Amino acid sequence: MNKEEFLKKLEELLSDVDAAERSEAIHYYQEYFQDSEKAEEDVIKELGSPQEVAHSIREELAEKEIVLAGTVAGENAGGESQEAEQSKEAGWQTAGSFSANSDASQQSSSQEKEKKSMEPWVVVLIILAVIFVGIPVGLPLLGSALTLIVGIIGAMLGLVVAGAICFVVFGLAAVICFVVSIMKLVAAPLAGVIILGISLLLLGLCFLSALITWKMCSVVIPACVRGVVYLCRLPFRKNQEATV
Amino acid sequence: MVFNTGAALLDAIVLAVVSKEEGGTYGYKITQQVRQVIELSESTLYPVLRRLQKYGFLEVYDMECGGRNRRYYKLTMSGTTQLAMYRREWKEYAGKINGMFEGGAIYE
Repeated sequence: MNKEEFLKKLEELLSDVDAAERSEAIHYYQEYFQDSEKAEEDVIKELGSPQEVAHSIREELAEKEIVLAGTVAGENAGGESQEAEQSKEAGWQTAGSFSANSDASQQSSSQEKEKKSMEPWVVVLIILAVIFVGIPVGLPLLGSALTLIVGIIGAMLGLVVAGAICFVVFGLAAVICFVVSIMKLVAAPLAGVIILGISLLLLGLCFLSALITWKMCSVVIPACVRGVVYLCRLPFRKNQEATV
Repeated sequence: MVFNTGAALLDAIVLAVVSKEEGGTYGYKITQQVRQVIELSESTLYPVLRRLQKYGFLEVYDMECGGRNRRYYKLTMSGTTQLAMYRREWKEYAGKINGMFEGGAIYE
């Protein structure tokens, strides 16, 4: 649809509206197209269909008549007419989130009603199904999942402990090597320098293991804990959503 | 935006936007400026402008611009009064709401 078609359609749709009102609207939208720097198609996309545009104009006209009939005049639409307007304003809901929310809650409440009105034998059937299918299948699954989690936590703790041990051992070795190298430096300079180098290398390893341990403690483990907590909460959260 | 913009507030915003331009402003520009503050479908604005015009708050005049006539809107005297009223009302309303949201207990 291009601009001409849009305006023509709009004119058609407003054919039963007062002629002056109609030409005013057409004039406005004609200018709107001219003033917009965007392509015609984009302007039309933003405006919506001619039906929507016509509807908004028609609605406005109808509303105005009510307001004008209900109050003195349009000149001072201060107190009274404004209140009248506010009380019946249904349009211009610029955001749908409120209404969307209420829709959602309505839906869930109707779901709840359905749940409540379930036949007793269905409930019994569900319980039986849970007992005969849920226990033999669910328990081992749950068990293995728990084992897996415990295993992962164990591995993490092991890594932390290993890191700590490495830190201590490398640190001690580095200090010992350093002391030895200082003593050797005078008697056998070459060996002394080599041992000094080894001690520096050990010091580096010591720092590295300290860093790894630190990261494990501060990042990996808290993340795991959060994950586990999230998993544990999951069933409860679903319940909450269902009851709300 | 989760809050609705009612007819009165929309009127007030449009009047405020138009009042910013000394020599008046035109439909497309008003739409774009209103859309900077509230979400609003592009087709909502024409009816509002028309209504404000009928109430006598806005007046229109055609002015030559780039080889064609363009329709400009500007506030009338009563439009200016109306806008002042809206400003006052809004200040009071927003003040109350802010007090409720940010202030302490409101028990008497």
